[in-house]
Amino acid sequence: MNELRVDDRFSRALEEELVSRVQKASPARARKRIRMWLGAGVLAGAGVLGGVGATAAGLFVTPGSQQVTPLSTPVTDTHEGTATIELGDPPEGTTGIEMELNCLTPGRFEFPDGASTVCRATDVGTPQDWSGYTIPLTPGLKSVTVKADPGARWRLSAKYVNSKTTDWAVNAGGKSYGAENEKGAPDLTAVIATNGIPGYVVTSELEDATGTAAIKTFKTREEALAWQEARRGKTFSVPVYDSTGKTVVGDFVVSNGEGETTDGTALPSEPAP
Amino acid sequence: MGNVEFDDERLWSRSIKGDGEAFRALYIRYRDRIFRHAYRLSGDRQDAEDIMATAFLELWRRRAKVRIVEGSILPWLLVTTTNTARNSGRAAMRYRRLLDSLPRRSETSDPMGDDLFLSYRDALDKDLARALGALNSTDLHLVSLVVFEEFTIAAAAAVLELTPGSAKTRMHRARQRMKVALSGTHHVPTPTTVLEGERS
Repeated sequence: MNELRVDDRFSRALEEELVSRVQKASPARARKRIRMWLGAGVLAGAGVLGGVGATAAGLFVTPGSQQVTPLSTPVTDTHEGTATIELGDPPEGTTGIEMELNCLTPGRFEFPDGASTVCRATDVGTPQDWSGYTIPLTPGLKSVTVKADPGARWRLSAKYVNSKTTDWAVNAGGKSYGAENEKGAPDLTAVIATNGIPGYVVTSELEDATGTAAIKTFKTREEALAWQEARRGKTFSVPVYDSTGKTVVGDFVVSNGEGETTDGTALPSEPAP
Repeated sequence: MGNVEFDDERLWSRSIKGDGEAFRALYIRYRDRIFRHAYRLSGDRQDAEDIMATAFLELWRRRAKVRIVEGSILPWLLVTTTNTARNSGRAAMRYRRLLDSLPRRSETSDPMGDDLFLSYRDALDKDLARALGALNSTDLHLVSLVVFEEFTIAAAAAVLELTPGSAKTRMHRARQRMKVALSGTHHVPTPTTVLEGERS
């Protein structure tokens, strides 16, 4: 009789592919994922300033944030399939090429370094059809190539930019303050308090409250999850100061965002009740 | 065949730690059921292979969002399978190159008798796929879980985030709708008797 089953050859090839994907998630990467996940969870709803958005929006200038300065007029062009856009010689001081891609048809669009974006039919013509991406300038780079299936249409706007991370500032007490960036965190980290006032929290206090300090001591996923469980539903408040680090302007509340979830959705491997 | 059988939860938590063998065990445990479900929804062997493969690839890619219901990973897989079949290729597009690279059975290798049987079954399956197409996606998820895979309505409601009461009402309406959709075609008594393959 013909039992409906997966074809063996197909199944075996798929099986090997799946197993190799799982094994590629090395322990180091898995650890990082736990940390990132906890970070996202505990900070849900709070605003530690990364810099770019706040600065660009002109809210207030945060030392240590990234400043992107356009150096050339954008070259904007509409294409079909794979195409290359010439940008001319990069101006002095260029650190990268900033691209904005709008898909005009569904499809997969690949940026020069292999990163790609997939557009669905429902994305076209909506804000979802946009992707932004910046690649670092490498010697001799004067053009960008976007790979797409034949017939897939897209519009790209590309320009040379200089992006640099500004320095943290130092207050009268000798403490550095500003936004978290690739160098780490200054003594006082920029946040927005619950009352909407921008200010700074003492980084070590923030790390205690968010558990960043505790997370660094975890050796196993189980430890992390047990810790997470113990904190579930609790909130921690940290005072927000102005840049002097002395005057309190508000509070910064760190809550375990998943406080009400008890059905196991928050934790990937937690059993449902 | 190993003598030690781990439950889904154990295998799953080992998988997300990067244990490929644990994931392999889960795959082997559910591939045929997922394949049958994909086949029910598509009525085509190659499409069903694509859908099944996509469901497992998505299981891994979206591992942080996977929910285990009543100790089993199957409900999540079934829901993902249904979504994949419904969106015909949207998720599969992500894996197109990989899917195209997997070896396929050549259709001509079937002995004659099988061909005859297959074509008869295919006709029935296409009708069922059409009838299932008449349901909205929540109802289709429900029918898949409750009718085909024999989960309780409570378990199905949990994975679909419905209250048990509204799941029950939806189930009732979905059965009616399926009945209507099937009545215009062959006299298939109920979808389950036709398609319930051997269970492992």
